[in-house]
Amino acid sequence: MFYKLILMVSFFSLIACTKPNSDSSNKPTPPPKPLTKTCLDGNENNQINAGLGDPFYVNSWHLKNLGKNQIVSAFGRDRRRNDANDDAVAGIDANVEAVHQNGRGCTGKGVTVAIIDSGLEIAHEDLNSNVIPNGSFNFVNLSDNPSPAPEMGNIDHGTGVAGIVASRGWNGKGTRGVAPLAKLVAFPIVQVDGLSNEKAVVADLLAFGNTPDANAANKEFNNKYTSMITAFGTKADKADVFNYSAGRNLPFPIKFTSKSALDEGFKYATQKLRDGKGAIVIQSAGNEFAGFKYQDVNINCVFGRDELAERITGLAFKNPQNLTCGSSNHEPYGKPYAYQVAAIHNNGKASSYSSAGSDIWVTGFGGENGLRKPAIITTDNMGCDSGFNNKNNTVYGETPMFAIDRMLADQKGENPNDANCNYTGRMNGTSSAAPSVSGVVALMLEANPNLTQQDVGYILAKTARKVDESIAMGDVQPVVNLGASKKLELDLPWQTNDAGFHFQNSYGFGLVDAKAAVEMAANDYQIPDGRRDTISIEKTTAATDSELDRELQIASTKLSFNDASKKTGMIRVELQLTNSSNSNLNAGYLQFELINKTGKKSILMPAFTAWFTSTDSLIKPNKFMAFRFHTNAFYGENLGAYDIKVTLVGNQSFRIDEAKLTSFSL
Amino acid sequence: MQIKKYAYLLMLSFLIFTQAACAQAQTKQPTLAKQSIQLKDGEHYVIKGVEYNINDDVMLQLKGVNTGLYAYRKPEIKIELKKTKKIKSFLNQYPELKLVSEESEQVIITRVSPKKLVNMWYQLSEDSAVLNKELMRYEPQVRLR
Repeated sequence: MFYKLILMVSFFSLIACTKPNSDSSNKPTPPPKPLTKTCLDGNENNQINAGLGDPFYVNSWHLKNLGKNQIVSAFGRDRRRNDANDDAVAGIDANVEAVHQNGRGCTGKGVTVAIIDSGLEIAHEDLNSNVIPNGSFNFVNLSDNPSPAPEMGNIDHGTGVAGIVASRGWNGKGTRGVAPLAKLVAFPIVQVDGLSNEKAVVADLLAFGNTPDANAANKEFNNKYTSMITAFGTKADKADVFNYSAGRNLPFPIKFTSKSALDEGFKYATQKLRDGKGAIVIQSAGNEFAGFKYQDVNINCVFGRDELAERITGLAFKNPQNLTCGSSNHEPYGKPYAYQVAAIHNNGKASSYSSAGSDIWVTGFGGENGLRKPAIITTDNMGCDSGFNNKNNTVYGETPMFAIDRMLADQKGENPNDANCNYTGRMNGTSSAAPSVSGVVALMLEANPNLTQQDVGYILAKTARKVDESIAMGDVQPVVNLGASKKLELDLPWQTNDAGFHFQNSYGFGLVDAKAAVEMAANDYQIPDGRRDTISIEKTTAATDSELDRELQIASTKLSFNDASKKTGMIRVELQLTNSSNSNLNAGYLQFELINKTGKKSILMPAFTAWFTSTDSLIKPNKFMAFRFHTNAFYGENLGAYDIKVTLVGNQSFRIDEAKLTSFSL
Repeated sequence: MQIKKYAYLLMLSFLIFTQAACAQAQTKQPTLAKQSIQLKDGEHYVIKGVEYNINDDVMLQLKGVNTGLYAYRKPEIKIELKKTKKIKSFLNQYPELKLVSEESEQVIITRVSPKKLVNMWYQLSEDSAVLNKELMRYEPQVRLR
């Protein structure tokens, strides 16, 4: 731990001292004036040949969704059966056509997007012209070349991510990125199958990660840090957007500290870079809605959740399949700096895997797995011997893929648009959703380079589209029934908060809309009152009201911010509970809620997420456990009093020892 | 003799459980499966099937040590030896142990399979050279999404 601490401090100290205006982040910036000329005017000379187009553009539903008649990435069994399962909805897309204006509008030109991932194949025919030469640093092999090395796995996740952001547009090849002329750099930190060696552990620490260093701390690595810090920091400081399609799966509450490498890295990027306007960090929310893998073991919440819950509580559990298993809020770090992105399918509903949580900002495009339902077409490792599009690839470990379901971009070289297997139609996950939003951010920054990191977040939230309006309503809402007249709601329908922002835990503020966001960035945007406030903190030793409500044990505490004239951004909720009963209390049977002054509720953590599966979630008698959650549900509202409400579905009793609210600036 | 007895008991239970889990997997979706054997006062080991997933190997969990419900595929044991014990001779007794820290000769971390973990833990409990032992838990790692 000592070594880790020293290394972290050294890293951040070193890169911080290379920055001009290092204290500018807390100074108010003048409101941007409406721009007299923007890329939206459609007069950009981008030196492209629009007539060349991009062959897979017509299949890219995430860029332009034509509905059921569009041939998207998969044309497997279901398509041959008249698409019985094809429920695509036209218009569920990034709405970029009017922004790109066929290459003469906003294309991300002049904006640099950094891909923190497994790699980026810089020689790729559809990425190469957007890659900044020598602009990358590869933590995995300590070189300037982010291209996937053999030890980085056969499928390069990062190359697919990069293509969704900025696959070159109008070059007659492959796909088109959301920001087709944005510049790319990459900082590979992880291998496809996760961090498994010492180099990667160190790399992750440096590149905003946070993993254990049980084996890493020794003199050899100490000496290597200096050059790595310099090599990485110098290059990273030039990025405008960081895409981080990675994160941790956490099936139990973890202890958190006031500082972490992840927080410090993201804070630095979002407050110091871009001359103090802050880079924008976009992170995948996670793929754990239905279940996930932890330490190589599959955890599936849906199966057995209702049975276990009913056995313990004696109460009927309804719609367990509609409740997230892993929550993006399980991760206590990285927020409010990194915007969390959920994933949507082409039918306008959340992708089956997309983790829900009150900390999600917006939704991007992930699709499904690219077999029976489409995924996202993007760049893939070049050649037919590597990548998803690989002649040796198999489906479900049995039959070569092409013998089962042929993908439009996965035909092993048989497709005339992809004779060399350089593209795939199987990229999916919130890993795909995040870069679709990173691309939109690049378009916004081209349209208005003056935007601060917070401006970008505000515009994304303000312009996001409400989708799936019936989610968590009526018959599909997951609940624990307490009889005909009462129920514990485990997920809520869309809420419109007191500042007019709509919010839902599966989608955040909604589906990203490039056209609306870029237009607001370029023309309409004015800083709302109360922006750039410093962080407000209220801390209390909680006065706990505890009551017995049938089988539910409820404790609540009220906290008030002093200055009601200020507006809130994301709110952080921290609290400590003590188990005051004689038996173990499973934190997975606790539901945490925050309620604003007008009675609107945000479910910070529903009962029966993956926590309930773990003995590490058990709070022993007379012992305590600390929790940290984040919520965007009250974004833009004036600060006021809030109730923190904790409900236990079970027979134990508990008390809230301490609670703390932090309101981050709007 | 004691060690052999316990090892046989453990193997037998493991086989029984594996068979049961296999039969269950073939007939219906698995449910929470658990067997435990009382091996010794104060230290008791649980053999636990991995919930919900029929394809995973049977895993072992060491009760009383904070491993979490889901035992790790490659757990690590950190051992502190009595200072009088020479580390090389100690390692010779346990070919599965590996010295990974060069900072201190008193710390050994080894990776063992879960199936070997229980036996290893038991042997180390009996070894007078072992001052302390600890099952290392991993922080969850960053994964691509």
